[in-house]
Amino acid sequence: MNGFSNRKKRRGYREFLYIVPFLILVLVFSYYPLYGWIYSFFDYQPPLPFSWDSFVGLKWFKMLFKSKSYVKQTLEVLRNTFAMSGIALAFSWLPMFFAIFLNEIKNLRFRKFVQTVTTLPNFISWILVYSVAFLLMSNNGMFNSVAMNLGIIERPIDFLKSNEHIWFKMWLWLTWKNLGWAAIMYIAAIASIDGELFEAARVDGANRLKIIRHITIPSLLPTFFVLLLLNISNFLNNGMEQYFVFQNSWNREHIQVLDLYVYNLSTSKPPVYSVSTALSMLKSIVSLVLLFGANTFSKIVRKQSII
Amino acid sequence: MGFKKQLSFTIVVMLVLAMFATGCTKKAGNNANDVSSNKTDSKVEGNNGSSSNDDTATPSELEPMVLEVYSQPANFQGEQPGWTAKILKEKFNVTLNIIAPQVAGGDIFAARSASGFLGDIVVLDNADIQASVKSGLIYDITEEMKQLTSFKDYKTQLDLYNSSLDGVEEGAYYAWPTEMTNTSPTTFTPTIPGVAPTLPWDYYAEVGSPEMNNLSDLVKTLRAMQDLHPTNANGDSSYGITLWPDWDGTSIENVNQLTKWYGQEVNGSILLDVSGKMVPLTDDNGAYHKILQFYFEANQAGVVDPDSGTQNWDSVNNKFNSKRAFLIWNDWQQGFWNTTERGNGRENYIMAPMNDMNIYQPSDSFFGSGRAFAIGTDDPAKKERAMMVFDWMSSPEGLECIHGGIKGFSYEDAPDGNGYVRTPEGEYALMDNSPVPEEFGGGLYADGMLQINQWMVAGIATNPKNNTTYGTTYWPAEVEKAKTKTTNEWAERFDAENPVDYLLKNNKMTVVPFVNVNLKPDPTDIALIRSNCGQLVKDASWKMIFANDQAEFDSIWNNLKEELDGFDWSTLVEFDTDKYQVLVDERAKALASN
Repeated sequence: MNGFSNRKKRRGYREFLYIVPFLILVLVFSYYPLYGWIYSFFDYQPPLPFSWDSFVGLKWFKMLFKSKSYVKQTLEVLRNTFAMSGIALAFSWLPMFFAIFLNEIKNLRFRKFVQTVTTLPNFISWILVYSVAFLLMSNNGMFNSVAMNLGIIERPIDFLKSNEHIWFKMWLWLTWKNLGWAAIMYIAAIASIDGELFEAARVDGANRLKIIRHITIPSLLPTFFVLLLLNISNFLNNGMEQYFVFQNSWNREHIQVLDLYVYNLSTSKPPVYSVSTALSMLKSIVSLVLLFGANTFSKIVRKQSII
Repeated sequence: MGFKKQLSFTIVVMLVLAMFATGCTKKAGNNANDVSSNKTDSKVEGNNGSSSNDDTATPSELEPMVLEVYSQPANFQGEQPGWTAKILKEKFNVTLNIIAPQVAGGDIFAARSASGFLGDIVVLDNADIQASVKSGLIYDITEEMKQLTSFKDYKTQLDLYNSSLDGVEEGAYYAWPTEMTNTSPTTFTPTIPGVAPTLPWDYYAEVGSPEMNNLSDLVKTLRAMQDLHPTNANGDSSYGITLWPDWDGTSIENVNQLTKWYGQEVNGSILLDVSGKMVPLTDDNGAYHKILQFYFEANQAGVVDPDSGTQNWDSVNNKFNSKRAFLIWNDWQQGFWNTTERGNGRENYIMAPMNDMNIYQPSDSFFGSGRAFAIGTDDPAKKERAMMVFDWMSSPEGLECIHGGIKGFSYEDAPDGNGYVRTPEGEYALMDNSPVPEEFGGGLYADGMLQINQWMVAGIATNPKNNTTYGTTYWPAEVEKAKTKTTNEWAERFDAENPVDYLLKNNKMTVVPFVNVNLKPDPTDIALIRSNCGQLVKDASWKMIFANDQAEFDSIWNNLKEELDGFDWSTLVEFDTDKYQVLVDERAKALASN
């Protein structure tokens, strides 16, 4: 440690060492995988190893835009991604209000019960969710059997096969699974609001709705905006498990999102690794554009940068 | 709270939550590993007679060893359990650790091959065997191969296969094709064809076992059956036909299989017929369109399970097990439903032929079935031990175990001395996955079978010890036992001994030589076209089956052909025509040589 001229520098070095493990983690898990992008410039056919003979340059990128049909396919996938992420984004206030109203429940036992019941689905895998959906909603499923026995419907309703309102239905499933979990953050934030604010408002004669409107919501807005921005940067990562389990030949046109398309390509027989890598790179670029776009927007509107 | 502070607060909360979330998924600790591993007090006698190889060391001298087996067809991943594990442990002191891409995901193949080690023993598709030879993932085993007990019995096939591999010098051996037989290239041994319309005999007889001229008659028969039996014994609705999408590749598997009723086989984008002629899958007069039309008409008649497009194989499995589906195209019901008892109650499923059928039937897999076994390690100790396991798996001794089961538990010598016969426990052991007595290794019977799920020699091959097949179905005593009221009535009705006998007598089946060739792998461009086109074909096919009327059916079909053109379908058809010409040529050779 003699190399350091003064204590301040030495302390700086020591503190740098504290964060080194995390920097390494970031390098390993966030930067090293970028090396995988190399696949998109080669004609990779496992198990044959890489060689310069199989270098193809931008061939796969061009192939994605080769003819009208290919462009249409790519656009369709992007449209589905934007639509479903857009719906989720448009309803991203829902967990906040859920948390607020949950917080207003005075009966502690009931509140915990509601919170547990709504959080639990988050821990069920999508594959099980589909099994449940199949048991309930299929033609021979519970809903149709009961409804037909009661004489409400004459023919079973084909929920799973139908393509109608599929984006909205997917959002409903997602909300059912995620609502309680997403609200946790807001519940924590509500707990951290200064109690004196509420007391002062009460002294000033504010009723519950007014407190919510003038104290709780404004205090939660920063959290909301942070989450919103994080969601935007994750706009294209809307996950594929959900769409993977619910996809079928009738709804694929509207349900195949970017991640799912990449997955379908890389698991087809034989797998098309190179092209699917090229596609997923496209995704990273769009994500970057979106994030910087949102940041600029935030700078203009709120005069604050988040990056 | 300032904005940046808020940001860091939020992120900390998120990270903590994420930590808990990941912590939860890891708790599935696995303590199923203790598979009676330290019980080495030999109790071999009951199993398979004594070990025949005197030149190999006895198990007590062998170091315990774990061999990794990379098996493409395996449905099970992890340590081989149960009675087979016990045999391998006692004979070779070996534990098999099975790696199954079907369980772990296909990406594991790319990952493992990039690391340079697939497994000590590998079972791969032909194309991957070829690529693995080129990239040095599997090793030359010429000398070891020549030492195998059954080497000389399969030399012809081994020579042909290995010489067809690119990059293998003449006379060298790298791989052992799967499911070879010692019959002949044009023999078809089984008495049931690979695919045929199969119906429950009681229901079929109940509607008068009508003569069916074509698919329309089949729809009528199914309708009549469903009218009489809208539910099974438990009151669950049953259907003439149930389909499932999770086996679909680049077209619907349930359609692909049925094209074989009309002498055509789907191979990627083309239909290959019994004479070797090829037409595109989308040919208007091809069998693919014909079968789609059949399913469509069946759906119009209300005999197709409405959940067909959304259910998975598991739920189909349940339906087959509980007689909720009538028309089945494979002889699965041998395992799922048919029993001697039910056969005598006329309840067994059995073939119901149509007059216009011409079943496309590949012969016995004399040359192998399209995959191969190879060695993926050059560690001499592991290689030696892996070859011991190879020897066992390919010798009569091992094959009796693999195909027959456990002597003394699931089968025994036949009373008349002609081969073996299953014990009462053995008849249900597979279907019920029944417990195995502790002396044979314990565990459950089906779980304890060799989980590599692929055999070096097929069950229909002849066992030189007693000149019957290795598999239980065609043991003379079993054939006799399998005669039930169902088969007897069927034999009388159709004037034939068994389904294959009937089909051959009436010219309703063509046996094509089963050749095992290395087909050209897809370059990436073709693979992309195949993937995109396959998706279109599948989606359109399902929509056609469930179309509202004939006009919609036709318009989806025409639309499909148009859309496919945009994705270079013709390039794919050309590529496939070229690719499968090799198969056609080899078949002609096999026929000429016979």
